[in-house]
Amino acid sequence: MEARKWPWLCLGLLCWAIAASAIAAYYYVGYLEMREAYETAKAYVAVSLCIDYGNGTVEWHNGTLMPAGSTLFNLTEHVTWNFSYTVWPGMGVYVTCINSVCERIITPGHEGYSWIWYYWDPEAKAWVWGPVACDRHVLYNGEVLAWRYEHWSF
Amino acid sequence: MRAREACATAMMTAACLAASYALVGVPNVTLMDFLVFASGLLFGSKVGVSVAVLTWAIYGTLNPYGFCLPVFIATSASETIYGLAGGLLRRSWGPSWPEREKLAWSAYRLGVLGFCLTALYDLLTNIAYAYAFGVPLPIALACGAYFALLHELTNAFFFATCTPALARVARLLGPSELGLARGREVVRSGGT
Repeated sequence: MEARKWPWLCLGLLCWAIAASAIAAYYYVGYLEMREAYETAKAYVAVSLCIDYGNGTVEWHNGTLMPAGSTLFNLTEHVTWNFSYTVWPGMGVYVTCINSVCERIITPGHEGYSWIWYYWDPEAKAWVWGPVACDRHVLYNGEVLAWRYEHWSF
Repeated sequence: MRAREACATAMMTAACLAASYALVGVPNVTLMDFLVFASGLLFGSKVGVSVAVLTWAIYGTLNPYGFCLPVFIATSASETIYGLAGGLLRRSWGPSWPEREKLAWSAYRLGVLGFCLTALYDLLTNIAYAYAFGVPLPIALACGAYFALLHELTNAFFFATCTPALARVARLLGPSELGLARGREVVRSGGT
């Protein structure tokens, strides 16, 4: 009787091994999924963009995912349906139209309406004028940016 | 197949189908496997295998999760191992095992048997799934590990708890052997 017990005890151990392997496989699959999600999160940045048309219409694109290394130019191109610009060699991209609202020069060099971009400074709690051309500004995760159609005059 | 075996097959198939459709909303928890095993244990391998094939012929084609031929063939073929195992157990353990053995030891052996048979069933059906959908086998096994383990543990539980009780009930109903043996004796004694 003792001898006949051993095969059943061995089978019990086999069950344990199968169960342990299944649990290990389950956690391994979970680990792979988490890792993939982490890699995806690392490869993208989530940014918010405000488009202020200057007539009271304000459009928000919150939490927009962009590949890491993208610029404000890429983001604007991504969220708008009509986008025009001119390239100034050595300086960068100058945006002229966003969603069919185009730059309007009333008096050349003195007065007009143009698209200006800003970034939100969370410490100063204020919008700050973009210091470079939009294609030179690399996005970072959680950033809040804005395009504003503004009247200017000198 | 005798009339009594055909009757048992029809009855057990109906029970399997009722149990399967009743538990269709609970993935990988099924009484079908235990009932197929019980068919083999009570009425022999032939009935066990027939119940397995007939149940899957209906449940596999009228299934809310859909129909897939390679998986259908694999499940139908794999389900027969429960019926075969039940029939083999009936032969090797003899009719008096419920009284001969301690309940805990019987429950342990049946639990282990249920677990191993289900592991084999899951392996075969996962191979068929991997083949049918072009998924690499290790990935199919790893992704199905949770469901397989749930299936194996619940079957081990059903086998360990229900089989000794079923065998004792069958012993009470039959004078010398389980299930159909009683009927055969009656036929034999009636014939002489």
